[in-house]
Amino acid sequence: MKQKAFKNISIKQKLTAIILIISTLALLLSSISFMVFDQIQIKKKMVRDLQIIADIIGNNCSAALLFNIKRDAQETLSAIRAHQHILSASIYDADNNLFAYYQRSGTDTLFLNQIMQQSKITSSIMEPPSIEKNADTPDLPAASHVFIKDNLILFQKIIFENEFIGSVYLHSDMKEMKSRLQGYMGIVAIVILASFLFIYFLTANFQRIISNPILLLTRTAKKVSSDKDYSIRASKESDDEIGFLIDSFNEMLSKIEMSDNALKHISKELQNQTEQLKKELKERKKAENKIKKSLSEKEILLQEIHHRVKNNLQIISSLLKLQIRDISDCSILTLFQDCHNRVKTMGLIHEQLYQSNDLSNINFEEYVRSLTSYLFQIYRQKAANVNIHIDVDNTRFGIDTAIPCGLIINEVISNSLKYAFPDNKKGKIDILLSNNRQKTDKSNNGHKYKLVIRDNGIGLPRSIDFRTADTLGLKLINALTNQLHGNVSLRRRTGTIFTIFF
Amino acid sequence: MKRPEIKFLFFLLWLLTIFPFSATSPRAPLTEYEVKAAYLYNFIKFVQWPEEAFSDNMDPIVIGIVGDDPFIDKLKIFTEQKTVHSRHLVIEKYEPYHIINQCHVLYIVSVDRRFQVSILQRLERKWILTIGDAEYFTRIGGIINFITDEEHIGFEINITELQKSELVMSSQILKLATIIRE
Repeated sequence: MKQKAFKNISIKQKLTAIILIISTLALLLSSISFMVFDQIQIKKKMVRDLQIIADIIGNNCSAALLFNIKRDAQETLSAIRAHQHILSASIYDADNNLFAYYQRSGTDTLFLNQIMQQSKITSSIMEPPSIEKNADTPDLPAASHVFIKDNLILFQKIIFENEFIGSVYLHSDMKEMKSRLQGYMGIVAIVILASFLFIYFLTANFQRIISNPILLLTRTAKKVSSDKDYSIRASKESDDEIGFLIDSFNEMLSKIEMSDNALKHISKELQNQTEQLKKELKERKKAENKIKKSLSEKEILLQEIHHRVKNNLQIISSLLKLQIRDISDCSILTLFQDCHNRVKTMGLIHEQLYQSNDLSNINFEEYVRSLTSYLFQIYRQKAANVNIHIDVDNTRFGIDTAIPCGLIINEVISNSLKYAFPDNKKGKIDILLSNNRQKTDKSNNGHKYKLVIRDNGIGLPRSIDFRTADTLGLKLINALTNQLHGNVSLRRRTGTIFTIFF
Repeated sequence: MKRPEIKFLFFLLWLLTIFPFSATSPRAPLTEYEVKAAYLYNFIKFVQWPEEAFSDNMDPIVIGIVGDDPFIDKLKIFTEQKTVHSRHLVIEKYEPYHIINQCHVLYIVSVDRRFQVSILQRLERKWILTIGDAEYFTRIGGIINFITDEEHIGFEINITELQKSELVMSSQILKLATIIRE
């Protein structure tokens, strides 16, 4: 948590905190090491001082020891009073007998004894004397000391003229060192506090060297992102890593600016193009409307034409009908009747045409039905017992195909009705139209349609070759088939079968 | 009884426990001669002779003894194989009529005053530490005299004679001695 909190504070605060922590730690460390060093030095000094005192005592007591005058040694020891830190002192002779003893007034004797017992030196001093009175005791060092519970115990041999004549024991407290340590601690606390404040003020000024360029960069970045202005540049103040960062930032900005400009340019171009396209679209729509208008106009016109053609053909048909009434000669009547039929056939097509949706195609089935019903009406006396069967796929034909086709059907059916069924003979006529588009029959010769018209009447006389026949009807059939780019065949097995491929 | 006194008693008891051998030391008390021999040996340690007193560095310190005495044997025990001021110790026995001029220390055992005076007057060289064993010894020109009182052996020193002899004596000795100026 604390780490996260530290991560989120500003660089300025981080720098200050880091410098403060490090410098305080360094100060603390150096103070502690100084204090430890000082402690060691003080201890050394204490030992040295105590050794000097022991030396002096030893020197001053050597005669007393040699001449066994305890009073004098006691007097010498009493001079230790001047050294407040020495709690007790003793002198032992060469046989380790207590020779003189001093104890600072007010010192706890039991405490002294405890300390003495703990010190190994004293116990070694207290070892039984060697048999040889004046012999040196080489197993003991000339001087040794030990620190026990804030007490320094020092033992020193008294050597006079290369002879061991006794030993001095000194017991010192370490109050001086303790008070010195406390004083140091106070000083260290004050120094650390003072330097903490001093470093804080220094840091407040010096951290700007690092934090200011970063803050400036941050501000620039904020401005760029809020204003969307990529022409702003951060100012560089130094050639260090931050300077490099600022350079990179500026470079990035200029790249963004460049691509931004390019984007703007492209979007402008796109806008222009879109507008142009819109314009074009508008124009096209206009043109389309115009075309539609003219198309509908043409349709109306075409309808009108078909209507008029039909009307004219109707008039012709009516005129022929009127004429037919006045004809008494049978052969002429037949001629007129044929003419009338042919005109009617064409008129029916035009009628269907102007009634149709697209004015160019007619539903051929409907047309065939109305044509046959008309023809059956005309020849009702002869065809009373003839049935008709029409199987025309839902085919639509244009006028160029419908008129020849209609005329062929007219000729064949009229012929059948007139001659195939004499004496009201029963019969059947089939009109079959099939689309050959899907079939790949070679006999088709690439023709799309197959039209079959057949009757089961008496059939054409054998003598008549329909290709070279002299009658108008058969001539027309041939001519119309040619017009359709087709071919026609005739079979006369049972009645008459006309098969036309076109 | 007050507490500090109890503590002191304890301390004494403790001292007894840590000094068991010293408390029951088997050594017999020293005789007067032994003590005097030790003292004589110790005096030499506290006295500095001028360089002229020796012919070279190897020259020993000669201890002269006048008078027939068992003291010599005791002294020999102390001085054998010993060196003081890096010099060996040599003991010479003199008769009262000898011309004594080779020694550095002269112990006159005889209590006869006449002898003593004549020996001291006949000394032809300075730098001799004269040690005597009579009440008047320091008054007739001797430097050190043993005083025996109530089992304790002390000594007196005649400072004037000491200065005359041009010997240097440690103040520690002077501090322990009874000083006489004549």
